[in-house]
Amino acid sequence: MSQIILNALDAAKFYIPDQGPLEFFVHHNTIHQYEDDEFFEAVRKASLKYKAKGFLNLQQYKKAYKDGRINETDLMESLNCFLKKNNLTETIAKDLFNTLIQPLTQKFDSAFVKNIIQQNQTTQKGYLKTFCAQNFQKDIDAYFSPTFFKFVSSYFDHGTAYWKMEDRYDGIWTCFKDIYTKPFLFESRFHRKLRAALHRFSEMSCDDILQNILQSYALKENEYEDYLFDLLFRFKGWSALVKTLEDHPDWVKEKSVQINFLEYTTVLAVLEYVAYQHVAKKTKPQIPVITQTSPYNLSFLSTVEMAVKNKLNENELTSLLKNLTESHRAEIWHYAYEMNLYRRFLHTYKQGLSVSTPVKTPALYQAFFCIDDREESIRRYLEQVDPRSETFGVAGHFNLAMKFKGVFDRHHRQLCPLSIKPEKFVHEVLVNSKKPVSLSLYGELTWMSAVGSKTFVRGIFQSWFSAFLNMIPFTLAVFSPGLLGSLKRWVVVKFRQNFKTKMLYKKEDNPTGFSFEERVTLAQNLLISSGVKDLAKYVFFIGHGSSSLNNPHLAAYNCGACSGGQGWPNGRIIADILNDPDVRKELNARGTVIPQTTTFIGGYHNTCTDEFTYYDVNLTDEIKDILMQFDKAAKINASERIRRFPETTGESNSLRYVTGRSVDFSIARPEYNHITNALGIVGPRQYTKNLFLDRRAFLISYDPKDDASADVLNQIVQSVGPVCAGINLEYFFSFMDNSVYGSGTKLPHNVTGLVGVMNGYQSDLQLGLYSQMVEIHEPVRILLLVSCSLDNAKKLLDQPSIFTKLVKNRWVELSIHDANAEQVYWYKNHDFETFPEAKPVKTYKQQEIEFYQSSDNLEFGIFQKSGVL
Amino acid sequence: MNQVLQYIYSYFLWVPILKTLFVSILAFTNRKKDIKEVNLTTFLNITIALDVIALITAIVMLGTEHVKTETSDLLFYWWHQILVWDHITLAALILCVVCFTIICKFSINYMRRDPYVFKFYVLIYVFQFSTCFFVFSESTQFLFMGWELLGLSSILLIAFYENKEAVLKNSLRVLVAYKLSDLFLFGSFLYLLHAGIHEIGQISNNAWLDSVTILMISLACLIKSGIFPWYWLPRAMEGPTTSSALFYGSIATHLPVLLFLRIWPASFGLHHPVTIILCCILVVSIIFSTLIGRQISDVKNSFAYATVAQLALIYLEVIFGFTTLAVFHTIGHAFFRGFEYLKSPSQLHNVHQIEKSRDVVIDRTGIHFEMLIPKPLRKWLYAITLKEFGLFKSSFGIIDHFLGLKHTLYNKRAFFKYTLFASVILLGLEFYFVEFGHDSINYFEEFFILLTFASHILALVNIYHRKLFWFFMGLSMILTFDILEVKLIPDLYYTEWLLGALLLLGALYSLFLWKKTHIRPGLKMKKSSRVMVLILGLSVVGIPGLGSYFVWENLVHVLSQSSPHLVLEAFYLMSLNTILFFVFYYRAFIPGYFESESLKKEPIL
Repeated sequence: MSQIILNALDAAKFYIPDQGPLEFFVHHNTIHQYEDDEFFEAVRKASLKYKAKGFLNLQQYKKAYKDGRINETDLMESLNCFLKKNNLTETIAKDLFNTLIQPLTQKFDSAFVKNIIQQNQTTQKGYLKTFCAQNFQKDIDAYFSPTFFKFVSSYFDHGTAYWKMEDRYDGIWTCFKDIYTKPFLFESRFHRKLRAALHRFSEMSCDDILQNILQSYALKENEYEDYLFDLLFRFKGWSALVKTLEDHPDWVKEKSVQINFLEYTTVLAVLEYVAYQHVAKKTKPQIPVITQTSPYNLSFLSTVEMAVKNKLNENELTSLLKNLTESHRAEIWHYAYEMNLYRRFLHTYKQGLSVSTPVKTPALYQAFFCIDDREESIRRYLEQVDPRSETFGVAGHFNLAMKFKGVFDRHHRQLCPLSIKPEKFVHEVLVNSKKPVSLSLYGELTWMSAVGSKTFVRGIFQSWFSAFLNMIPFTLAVFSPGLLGSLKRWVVVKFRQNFKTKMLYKKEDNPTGFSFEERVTLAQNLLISSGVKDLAKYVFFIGHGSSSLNNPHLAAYNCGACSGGQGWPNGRIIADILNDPDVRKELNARGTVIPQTTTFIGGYHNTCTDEFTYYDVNLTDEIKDILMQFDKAAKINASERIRRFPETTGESNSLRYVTGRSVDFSIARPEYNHITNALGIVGPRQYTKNLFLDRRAFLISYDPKDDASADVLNQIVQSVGPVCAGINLEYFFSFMDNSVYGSGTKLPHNVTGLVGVMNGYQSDLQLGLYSQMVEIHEPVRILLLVSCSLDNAKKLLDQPSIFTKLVKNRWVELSIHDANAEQVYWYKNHDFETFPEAKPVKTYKQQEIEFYQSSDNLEFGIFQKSGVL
Repeated sequence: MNQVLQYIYSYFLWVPILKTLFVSILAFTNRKKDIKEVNLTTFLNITIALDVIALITAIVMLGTEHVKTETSDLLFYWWHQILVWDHITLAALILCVVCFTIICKFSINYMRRDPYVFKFYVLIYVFQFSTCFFVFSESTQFLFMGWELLGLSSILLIAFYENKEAVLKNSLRVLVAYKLSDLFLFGSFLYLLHAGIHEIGQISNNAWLDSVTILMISLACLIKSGIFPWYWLPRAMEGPTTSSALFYGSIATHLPVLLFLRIWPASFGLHHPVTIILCCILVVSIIFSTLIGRQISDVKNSFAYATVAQLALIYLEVIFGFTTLAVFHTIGHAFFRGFEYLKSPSQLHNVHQIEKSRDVVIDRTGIHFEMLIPKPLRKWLYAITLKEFGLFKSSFGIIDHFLGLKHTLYNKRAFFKYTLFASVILLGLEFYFVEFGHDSINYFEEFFILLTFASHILALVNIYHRKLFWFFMGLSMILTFDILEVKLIPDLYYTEWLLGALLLLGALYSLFLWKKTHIRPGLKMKKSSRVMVLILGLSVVGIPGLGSYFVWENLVHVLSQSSPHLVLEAFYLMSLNTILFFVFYYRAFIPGYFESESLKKEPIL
């Protein structure tokens, strides 16, 4: 019997969103639960389930049409797709087109349409909350949510509270029982009832309690799942956290916290049960409460009916009208909106092919960056600034599946994509020195001030002295963050000179590290998959990450391929591996030739400050010169980046300005992260080198020439495809409904228990991206352009895999560039269509003034000619 | 010197008004928002510089001199206002201007592209305007005006993100706490006026004064500082972080301390009953708030409770006579908390810093707790702390019941509870005057007071019927004034009967409409119309600076001598009107409030 409950709970849990603690913020598809459905269908289902918006407002689309962002071709094509999907004749497309763009003024009252609307209502089920609101005009959540929020935030606290909950090892249900069965003189009525209920339930197991409660509502067994989902989703933030932590136990840094979704649900259900008793006394609930809403717009349907009546028979008309809900209408618009962008890009790409020139070989140095869209511009500038350079894009963990602990860190952190479960543990250790005393002292001081601000006696001294000590640095931080940033950087550089570190990653030094064989294999795979040939004299591996203050979501700004960690250890280690003579010898033996002269250098790119750091590098004049080129590129890159920020007012020194932003407490958007991302390109750099992509593309290096069997390609798309789609879709949904899929504005956020943010005084945890992070985003699905032969592409889609599922269900739009056939294909309606001839596109000079001024999205374009600046 | 003080005062009085006007006009100009924000930034930078110059001028010219002068400013031309400058004023001015400047500068970046950015600046300028009275004014009625305006801007900033339900509820809770403190302060100031005292400075010198008055002012200060009997401070953390820092971290909670400093009579000593009562309250407050603050697990709340504990200590310092210490503690603490709030989202970063640099593991906290208290007791203490000691929780429960905050719609039960609570306090006031009042009670007047109250309740009943609501609300206001006016000009007695008849007609009409009343929460209105409704409502309920307030102040001035009890009752009714207006405004005019699922919005896409 209780198995029914457990099954229902599992089913309900499946639909709860996922999000780990703030520190481990990893981008993922917000509604990945629906990945088995076709994209638009999934959006609709999710909207209904989560009561969220899935598209923009119709007015916004119409405005886009007026502004030329959507044109007639797009809309017609989108309509045709829609009609094809619903097996309807395309002859009515023009009529539908007219009804879509015209304002609906006239009201028609057709019995036929009314009948259709009558018959196709959407039903929504409500449970106790709806029942109480309808029958007692009371909000049941208001009774128990304060108790719930206080309790769970204390239980899952990872270190905010000075006085922690004790005996958390016993699990959440035991702790809950323990705390709320303690009697007290001034107890509120609700707590008294809760105590009585807990006494009654004290000897039962969690599933029995749930069963008891559900039976007391006289709920049918097939309603269990919906009821539990309704309850859990009302507290979706905490539910998501518990669900995710159960799947990722290593994210629980506070070891005494026990994660158990069943117990968590029990706590919630008991609280709701008591609140219901409190509100409704002895009334038996009649649940589910079914409400019906109409998904249609009567006026629109009537207009459509008028327009197409003569061309369709009754059955066709019924099927058309049935499928024209408001969300279908939005879907047609939205697809047109997306197609416009795809088409503009593909035209640009095709045009770019005609002017692309093979890379002059050999380059003096090569730089491997992450595939991240933020690295698109820095690669572009590096190549433009210095023609001796060549750049590659590979996933930023550089094939190292590991957990890493920095020299002063306390915990290991995963630095590879979330889908990989790493078994290697790597440490950074000090070489020939001890931990500096000044650092410990600094730690003690910050600790004292952190504790002092909460406790009473220490707080007295703190408020006497600390205010006057804080005054100058803080005023400086507010009035001149740039200066403070330079100061801080100076201190850090001075401090770092005092000690040296090294990485313990070899199995010989560290039993949990990589063995020789593993090192060779991963290095070889990395070099092969990136399609690099003829290694240059210097090869850089640049990981990336970000730094900023007053930003609880910092992990979302770091490298996605490193699970929200900073990617520098990966760059440093892979360079070290490849510099190892033994590894090189073995690689040469296996056919991957590394010239004797080649040196590998690990580096780190801070995407917020556009600052480069290099590790274990022997600074010769030549290297110094190369590093200067990096800095030059970084400076122009920063100038391009800051054009988007609303706070910017004609900054002359862009690098100093962005450094200032990273230490400025008052900045709500230290950088714009993956905003506006829309494209992913898997292919050799030579095809994209001449394109201006406005920091909107993930660039993945791959050479189809060496990969006739498409094995490497398969590996790449399997790992990169879902990552890019995850990032893209998280932005998509957070933008579409920021209050449900996203976390609303950042300004009133309040960090809770170091695991999440809530709004203001007390609320549920907020999921997803905050509004400042997505404000200028263009919500489109990612278009993945893969450079390979058409046959290989078809072969790729024949194998069942996550990537195939994403493509076939249209979560990712796919297009193929077949270099041999000199054709671009577009995967539409489950088939590859040849993309028509390229239209002329915009051409840019290198460093066009627009790149640094306009805050809008710029048109994709090609550069007039490549060469030295 | 007097001239200088007057100039400085005029600056801090007029400039915020001009700033408010400028920002409001800018908000409604027809330009692109990004351009408007650029203009705003320039404007803010200039005003910040001006404020700092004014502060420096004040410090240089006036220093720690003791100056007292009288001004008849244009704004309130028929009264003279007494201004004062001494070391407390100096401290208060430095506190206000420095915190205000830094937080304003901070907000330029922080509030960028916020949908409500203009509202934010309008409200903090209203706040700056109110602090001017707090700092300079020696006259009780002006200080009270600042007091009320501070409350207004504060609760509107709590309700800043007006599309969230919890935010509006908390705003109402704090409003009730504020109104209670207003009632205390107004009552005591009225009594002082009755006794012929207009100046704050005179209060502590008049040893013959009733200790009840001192107690009332003290309680008003404590409530306004968030100490007793409600810890409303954490619940006020709903606005953007900068407003939390400005109001609850630094200025708004610390200003009442400065008033308390001025009125606390040193002659009371430690054995005076008032001292003992206050000490008890404060000590209990300290213990409770530190316990809760240690145990709470989110940043802003933990700062809020810590703030309460320190504020309570500051009050204790004043009571024990360490005034200089208290001033330094106030200033230091206000700065420190302000910064801390601004930095609060950096908590994760800080924890990482500490983890990296400190040698010892972080977990070991509260060791002395473990050593001193046995485990069962400790767990029990934890449990009751988590329940906020029941008492504090239920005290908010009373407000929730009073305002029907747990109801999705106002139904009969909610009406009944509101009426019950409101009438109990009214009857309590009546009873107090009958038993202890010195002046005779006129039963006709009391009857009309009850009629006014009835009109107020009828407004509540018609809360979903906009026109009737405004009718009864307006009637209630006019009746209040009329009762006082008739007291001055007895010949006008017939107006009372006329209004009474009108009320009867309205009541009949609303009875007639009772069944037809449509429930229309979440009216979607244009932004500008909402602002108009707010301003209209505020002038009806008599918020300082708007419409009816001038009439009201005049009446208070004249009638405080002859019949203070009537004025106090009228004030009580006006406070109720204010609360009701905000309930109405939040419920009906702001989208998103109380959209219960049965009345679910547009079709979901």
